[in-house]
Amino acid sequence: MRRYIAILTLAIIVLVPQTIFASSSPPVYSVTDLITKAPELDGKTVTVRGEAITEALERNNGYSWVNILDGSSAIGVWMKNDLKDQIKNYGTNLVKGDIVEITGKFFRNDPEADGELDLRADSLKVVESGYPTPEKINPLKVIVLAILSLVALLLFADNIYKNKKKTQEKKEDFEIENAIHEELE
Amino acid sequence: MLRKLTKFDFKITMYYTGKIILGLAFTMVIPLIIALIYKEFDSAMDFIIGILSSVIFGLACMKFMKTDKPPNLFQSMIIAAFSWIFACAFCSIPYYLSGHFESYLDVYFDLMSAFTTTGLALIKNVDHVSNALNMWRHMLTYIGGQGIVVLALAFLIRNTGGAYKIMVGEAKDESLEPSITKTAQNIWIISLVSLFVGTTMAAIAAYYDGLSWDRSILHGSWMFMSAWSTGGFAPCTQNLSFYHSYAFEIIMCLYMVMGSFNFALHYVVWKGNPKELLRNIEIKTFVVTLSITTIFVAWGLSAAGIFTNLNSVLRRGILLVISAHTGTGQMAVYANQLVHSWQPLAYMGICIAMMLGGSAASTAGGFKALRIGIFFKGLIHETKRLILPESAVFKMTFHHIKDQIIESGMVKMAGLIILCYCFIYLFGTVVGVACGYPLGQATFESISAGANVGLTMGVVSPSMPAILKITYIITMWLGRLEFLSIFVLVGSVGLAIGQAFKGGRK
Repeated sequence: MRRYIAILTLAIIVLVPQTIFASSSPPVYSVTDLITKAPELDGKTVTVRGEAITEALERNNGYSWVNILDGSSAIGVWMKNDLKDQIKNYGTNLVKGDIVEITGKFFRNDPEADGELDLRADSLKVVESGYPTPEKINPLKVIVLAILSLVALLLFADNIYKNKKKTQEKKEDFEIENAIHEELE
Repeated sequence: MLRKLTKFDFKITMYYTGKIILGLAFTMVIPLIIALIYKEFDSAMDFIIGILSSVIFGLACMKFMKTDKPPNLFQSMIIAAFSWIFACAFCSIPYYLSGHFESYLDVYFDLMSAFTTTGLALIKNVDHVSNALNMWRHMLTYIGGQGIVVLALAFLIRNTGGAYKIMVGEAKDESLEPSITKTAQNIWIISLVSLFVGTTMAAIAAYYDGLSWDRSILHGSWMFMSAWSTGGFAPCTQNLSFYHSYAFEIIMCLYMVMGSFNFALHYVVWKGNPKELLRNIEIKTFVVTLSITTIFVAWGLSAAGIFTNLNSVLRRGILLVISAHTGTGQMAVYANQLVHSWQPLAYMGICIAMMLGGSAASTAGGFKALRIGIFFKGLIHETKRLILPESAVFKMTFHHIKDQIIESGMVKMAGLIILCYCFIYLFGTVVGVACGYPLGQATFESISAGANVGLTMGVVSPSMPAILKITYIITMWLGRLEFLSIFVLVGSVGLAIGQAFKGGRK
């Protein structure tokens, strides 16, 4: 009996805060989830987590579009510039972008964006800061490059040598023809 | 009597293939410069390796297979098909070394997709791809659209005796000028001028809508190349949706349509005859088929109640119809949206638009407006013949650059090619279904690959079975070269194997 009471108490301790927490904050969805479950999530407040990519597209009315990538799909998020300004790094080939968690209203066909599937942000939190990822040169590529350069150089040299030889032969033929002409005259 | 494959056929094929590969090596210099400007040194190494490998192959072919004889029609067909295989192999080097692909098959798939201006992609993490590789991906669709053989003809192959035949092998059989080199150069002049104007327009729209100036120019040029060549690649996962820009989408639509027009038509308009646009059979057919498919899609979308205002229908629905009909594949909706939200009538409209395609001798794929026009005129003619008295004499004509008489051979050829396209659409669908995909998605994807469109409902991904990747590679290749040159290549190789087998038995 005591064992059952202990298990029940433990279950209450673990589950109750989770239930309270779950009811107070919107669920986190992947972008793919938003697209596939678009009809049921349309107009609801959701949270999306992903990397801010490329750069923000700032419009003239104090708002910007920020595109968020969750690994497989990306979605456009319409937000005020003060939210956008929290993002410092955008993902490119040389930078890992900030990982952000955005809460906002999801639209399957946003009437204000001509039917776009998007999110209108209410809040933004940078979960993980981005960092530079400079390209490193692979030493194996350097070796391959050296070998290929050598082969290409040999082919070029051979080509130039053959062309020179051909020109020389033509020149000699021309001179012989000239000499024959002169003798005939 | 079947034509036997000789050693000379092989020699001349390799000689011209070498020249074409050498030409492609020079084009890799542009992404190399971009790599150096943006300090992408590892990408720069990839391109130098690509350039050197192509130069070595090209020079070796020209040295060891040297010939002064022009190719005949049979050899030209083999050169066109063969050079595409080698071009894909050499241009894939920077792709493979970039590390953005799971396997070499995926690399080859993307290369074939680029060269055939299809636009289906297996590249991973496209948002983190270097500027150099993005430039190369889009350049390949641009070069593939104009025709790699046309590129070589314009700048490298001086021996024009058999050059026109190679160009025919590449499904570019419009002769704009008496000189074939001049024709090829004109195709390139039209494309380069459009590149400059289109890039400027797209860059201004992107800059106005919030992109930084240098990225506006890069993205403007990439998206222009993608639209003009009716390719459909984009530097971002979201494709056109990334820009959230109406102006940008309008510019892309304009260039998708222009890119799908016949080069001969561009040339005639360029030479000061805009009235040709109103008389040309291809334009008339395109307008009719585009209108019909637009009605299908608009009806389907409104029935499903997805888009509620005109701008939504235009930007999400009609843009997709234009993209499908021109064989481009740029999208402002998500692939999964098509599966989960669109009504079947709407995506059936998209499927029909993809099947039909753009104009002949353009960058578009599919049946082509010229063939559809000729085929339907032929059908009307046959019906008339049955209705009218037997003694009645009438001729069928159509207007394409000049008034032309439709001969029964033309109708038969148009019908045959349309049938071949239907076969590859069916073949891809069967393989897709056999791999476990639903019929609707398998059909959509198969048509998209065979008609060189590039729209996707989510089937094309790195996790797709290898057999399906190979199937799509073959259908993209067949669709782009319009069957004949590939049939000649396969037939000749089969014949050569048969000969070798017979010789071995003797």
